[in-house]
Amino acid sequence: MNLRLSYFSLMICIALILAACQPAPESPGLTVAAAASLNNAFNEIGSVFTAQTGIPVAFSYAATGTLAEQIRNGAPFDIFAAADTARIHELAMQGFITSESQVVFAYGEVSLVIDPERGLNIQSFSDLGHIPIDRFTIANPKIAPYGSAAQAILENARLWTQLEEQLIFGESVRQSLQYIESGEIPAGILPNSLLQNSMLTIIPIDDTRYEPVAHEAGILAASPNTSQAERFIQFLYSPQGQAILAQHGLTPISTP
Amino acid sequence: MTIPLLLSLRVAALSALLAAIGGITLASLLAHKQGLFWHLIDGIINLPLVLPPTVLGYYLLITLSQRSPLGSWLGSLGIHLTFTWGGAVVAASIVALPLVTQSARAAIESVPSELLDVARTLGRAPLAIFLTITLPLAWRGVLAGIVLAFARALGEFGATLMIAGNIPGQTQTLPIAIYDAVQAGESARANQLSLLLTSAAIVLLVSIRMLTNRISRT
Amino acid sequence: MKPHKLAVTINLMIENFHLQANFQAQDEIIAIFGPSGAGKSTTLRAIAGLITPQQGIIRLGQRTLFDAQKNINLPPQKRNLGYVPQNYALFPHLSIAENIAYGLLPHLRHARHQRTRELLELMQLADFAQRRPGELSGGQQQRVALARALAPNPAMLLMDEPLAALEESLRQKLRAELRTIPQRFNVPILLVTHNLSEANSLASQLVILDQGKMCQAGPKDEIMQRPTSPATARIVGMNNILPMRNLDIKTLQWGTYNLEVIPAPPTGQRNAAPLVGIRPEAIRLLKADSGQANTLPARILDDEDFGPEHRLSVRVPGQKPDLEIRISTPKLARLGLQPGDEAFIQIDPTSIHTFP
Repeated sequence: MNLRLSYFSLMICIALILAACQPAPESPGLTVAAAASLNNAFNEIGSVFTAQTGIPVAFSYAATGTLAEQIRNGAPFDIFAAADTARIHELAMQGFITSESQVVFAYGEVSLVIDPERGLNIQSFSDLGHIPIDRFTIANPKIAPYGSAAQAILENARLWTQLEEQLIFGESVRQSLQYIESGEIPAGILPNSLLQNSMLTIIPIDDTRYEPVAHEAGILAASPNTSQAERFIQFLYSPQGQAILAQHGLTPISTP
Repeated sequence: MTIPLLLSLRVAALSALLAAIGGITLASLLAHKQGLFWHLIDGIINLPLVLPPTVLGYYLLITLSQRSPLGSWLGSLGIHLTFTWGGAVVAASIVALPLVTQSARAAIESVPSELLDVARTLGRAPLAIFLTITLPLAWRGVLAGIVLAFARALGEFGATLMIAGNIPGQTQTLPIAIYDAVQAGESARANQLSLLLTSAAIVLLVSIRMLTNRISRT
Repeated sequence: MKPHKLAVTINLMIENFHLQANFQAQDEIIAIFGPSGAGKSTTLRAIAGLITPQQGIIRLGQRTLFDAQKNINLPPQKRNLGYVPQNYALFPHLSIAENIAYGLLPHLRHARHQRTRELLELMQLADFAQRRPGELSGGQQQRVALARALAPNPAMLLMDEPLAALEESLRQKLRAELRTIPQRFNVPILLVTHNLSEANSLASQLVILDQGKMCQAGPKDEIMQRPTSPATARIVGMNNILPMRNLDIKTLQWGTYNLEVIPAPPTGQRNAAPLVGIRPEAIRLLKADSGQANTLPARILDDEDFGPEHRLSVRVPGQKPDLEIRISTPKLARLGLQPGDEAFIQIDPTSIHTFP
């Protein structure tokens, strides 16, 4: 029994040491911090870009504010693609992003999203104030630009105080969407860029009610892959890149 | 799917190794100790068991960030622990440390003290006694603690997300890949990864049970 | 060669137990004897260096092992004492040979191997060298523990209740074996026991402890025959303690009976109403008055059978307390006396011990 046990221990130790001694993960090429709203669009951009250039790209999606704070704490990204311009400017001022690399590459709009299985009789945005809804989700306005856009819409429509107690903040727009898709929350305001293949009921919101969200990108000052990063940003506002963004519900810069 | 798994295995293995070294050392220092000072040390080691992962992650972030003295010193040595897999190892090691320490301490304390008394009268140095008597007799409990630490490190999420972020291929461990898949609405991927992690956890827990059962039988 | 002198003066508090021991002894086998809870094992552990007394001095020969005032406290590793705890504490994961070799310097491989072989032979353990302690009998385990403690040539062997863990049938054999150790290995033994006959049969020097207090230390016969206090007398089995009055230089009066004492107690110790102690085996039981000195009438109250001997409780008419007598079983059978019978007792005049 002792012998078997010592073999067992030995195996565990060897396994641990072998696993621990594997080479450290290398940066696969470019690492892009991207706003959660860009999840679907950038996944496609990434595979097309890699197919054309041979440069692998990894994306880290989260709310723009979360990523900005990670960059301040030294996260080793090459590119930051935000759903915001203010944060990019702030990071550039603080020296985390090179100022010459900043570029707005798309605009995003939002829609009212309804879970069709809840049978809510909402035909237009203006119905929102008249139909009782038990819960309503937007992304956390403190860290997600689409969340603050949604807050502005609700405030302008004088619905904020009415809905405030029903509001559930997602950590990013991706989480808010997941809340609705999983049937937990019947409705919310989300970016169109996440809703292209959605089975949910999508009710457009008149763009007079809010400022469309500007997506700005920049290259990190600490990036060791500046030339590859520049190629990625060029690809973003190339006609092909703009077309992919448009397919995913974003507004290209070439057609203001 | 294999990249987060391999990364997780590597992070968990290294964390378990570090936690084992630290935990066995601490356990041998803490064994048979009484008094406020040692209770305090014990309490600090066990903090990760009760603190929310966010607090732990926050502490790690402010101590290891490039803006902190420690972080910038490490940075000058070429060691970057924030938003790298090294940061994930630090987080998982700290979370796993109390598990090794507790298990190893119980095992070390169960070694009859007369054996150690005799070994001392036979002229052997404390470290030699620890290596030739205490550790061989406490080995099962120590090993169970290491396996538990490995399992815990494999499942570490909260503090890791804060200190290491969610970068595919670099810091995206299995639990974070699951979180990412859920957030992105990729439920098939989330299911696969969750199943993988659950199976690994069951295998590890069964092996711990086998180890500890042997302890109680001997 | 005369063994080293052991001098112990310690004052020790652990939890609620206070131990004060103070003795000097120099012999091949010394026994610390006393009832359980006396602090015997604690004293042994303090000498081994496993507990540190608050005050005191421990010296062995010329070496000071502990001196609280001079801040000397050698760790157990440096005391060069062999220690054999009550349950032997063999290392269960090591073979018998590895157990014996444990205290030998690991880097002197050849010398280590040689010494281990030698001890395996001397202790008749050669056939078990590769076995684990768990596979051995109690007696064999004790020999392993002895061999392990003897291997580094200790200055003294400390043994805690060496025979307590063994079956009765083995004890006699191992007592004989233990007695040969000091000569064969040129090492004195300090042992702890709560068994009077064990202390008697093994040791020539006794240290008596009771409830953490030192009672008496000295040669065995001295302590057995002339304990310094009634408390020590009871511990060493001198169970008859009688109040007397001094009549003249060699006569004591116990109530209405006069008892002759040989030799007469030293004059310095005379007081008018002394206490005396008489060992149970110093009182003879008789069927009829033989006319010898110190013969008294007595009635047998109780008879307790211990196999080879009996313990009787007898009452001398009009006297207190009742007396305890030890008598061999065949002798009692020859006398044919039993509880309720009237008989006589005769107290050996040389065995009446007057307490100072």
